[in-house]
Amino acid sequence: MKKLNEKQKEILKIFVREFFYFLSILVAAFFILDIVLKGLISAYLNLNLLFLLWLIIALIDLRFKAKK
Amino acid sequence: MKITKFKNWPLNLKLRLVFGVFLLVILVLIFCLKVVPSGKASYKKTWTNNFFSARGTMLDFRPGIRLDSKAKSYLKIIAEPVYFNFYTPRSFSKAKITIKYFDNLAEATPIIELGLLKGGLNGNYELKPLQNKIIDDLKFSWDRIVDDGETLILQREKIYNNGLEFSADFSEGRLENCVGGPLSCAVFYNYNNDYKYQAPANNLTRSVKINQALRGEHQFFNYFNQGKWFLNFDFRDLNLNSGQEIVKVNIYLDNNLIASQNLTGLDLATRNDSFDNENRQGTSIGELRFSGLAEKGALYKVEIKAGNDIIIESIESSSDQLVFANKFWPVYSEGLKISTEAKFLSVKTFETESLGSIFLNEGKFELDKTYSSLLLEAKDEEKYLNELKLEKSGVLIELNGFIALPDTKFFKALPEKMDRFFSASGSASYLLSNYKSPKKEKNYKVASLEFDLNSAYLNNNYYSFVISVPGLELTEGGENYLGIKEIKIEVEGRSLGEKIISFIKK
Repeated sequence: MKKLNEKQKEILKIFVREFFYFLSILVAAFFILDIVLKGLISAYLNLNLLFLLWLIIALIDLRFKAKK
Repeated sequence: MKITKFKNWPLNLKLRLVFGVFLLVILVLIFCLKVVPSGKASYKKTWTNNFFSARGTMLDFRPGIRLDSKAKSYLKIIAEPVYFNFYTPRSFSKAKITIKYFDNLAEATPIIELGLLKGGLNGNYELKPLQNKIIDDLKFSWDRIVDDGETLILQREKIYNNGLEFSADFSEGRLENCVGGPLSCAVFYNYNNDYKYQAPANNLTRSVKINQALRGEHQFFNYFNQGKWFLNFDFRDLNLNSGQEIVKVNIYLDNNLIASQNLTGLDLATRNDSFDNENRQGTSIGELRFSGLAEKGALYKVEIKAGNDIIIESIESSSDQLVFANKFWPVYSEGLKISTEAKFLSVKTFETESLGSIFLNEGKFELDKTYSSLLLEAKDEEKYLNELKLEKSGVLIELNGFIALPDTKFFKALPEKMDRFFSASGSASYLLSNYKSPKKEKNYKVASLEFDLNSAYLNNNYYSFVISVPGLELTEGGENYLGIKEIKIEVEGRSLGEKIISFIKK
């Protein structure tokens, strides 16, 4: 696999970090809205999978931070 | 302040803007899903679940014991009834439900119905037919008077040429080739009943007090001649369950509610463990009294809505022309004899002390299991009224017909309602129904029904439905079943614009 250069790695780090912030807000909003709107979100979206995605992105972001 | 061009923004700010816009779009989408601005929405349920599937809007198909969980690509119903909930983000005024299914049902289970739970205490399900194989067959052997996609009127022999001729006679309480009038030869199925019972001339009635105690919800028809009428009820709370029971009595005339009263039961700290069939337990909670003036002789329908913790101690009426409909649950009733015109009855009991023999005319049946229905059939075809004798007390009787007690006068309040036991070779000569046969689509059948949601029971954004296949019971092998492939519900209500306009007008 072609190794990424430093600039590409930096862009990827920023993207993962911003995506993680976005997913954090999204997951929190969805969980709160699901309670307030009495199950509307979970009727259309598997919230457990979204939470799993958030966890994976969080781990990737942590790994990038640890490598600094 | 100098505003730099977007392309000169740092990457993280650009990404935040993009994600922010995306989040906004998602919130607008959620708003639309919740509010349904157009007032119309469509929801579908198929049984092709995968790992990523969400909960869906149609859920909680229960009880599990009546479903075969091995079937993965469809819902396999092996016993009835099966209930399910339909989630909606808001209330709507009507719904069209389309079900795609295939059936592997025996001849003894020709009817499939879908019901919507209506509002109120001990709400009933409004059942509508998805499929009625008896009528589907009759369409080819009987003559059609009316078949306009909504109303279906069939006659055994070609007598009437059109619906107008038929309606003219029917509304006057007579039909050709029908000696006893519509009551003796017409059968209804899901028909908007505009039939008015007509008492015979010189109909004499006297007041009666029924001291036979009954348990739970009941419904009866009472005919009052012109003049003053009264109905009095006494109730007892068995206090088996916690919480306060509510008893409600509704009286209808020509399908219009004319009187209604409530009574609240007790919530005592000490409760009875179980029902005692021999000794009267619990406490009296009071009485309800009704009276009125009948301008002319008319049939009144009385609904007593109550849980199984309530005993109807007595019913007093100014007219002994009184029959119970569809359900009868006498208690403290050893040796009770009742009359009914129904040829098929289902009996059940929940107490072992109530197990024993039941006599239907000359036939003897043994009720030997609790929580299990026993089907009784009156073999004597010539007899109009059948006599049922209960050796033991506490037996719940369910039937498609009417029941009279020794103190009351039997009469048929409504024309016969078709059920799965209907035989085309019987005495019926006319069938009136609101029924549309399902359509065939490749290997499946598709049936659609419309329901009014305004009077439906909406509990925390859930409507409750029931799928009923009368006679479908759990058997070994499960060869008799109904397979549901897809359920589609299209709902309609007020749009956002209409809501805003009505809010402004207020």
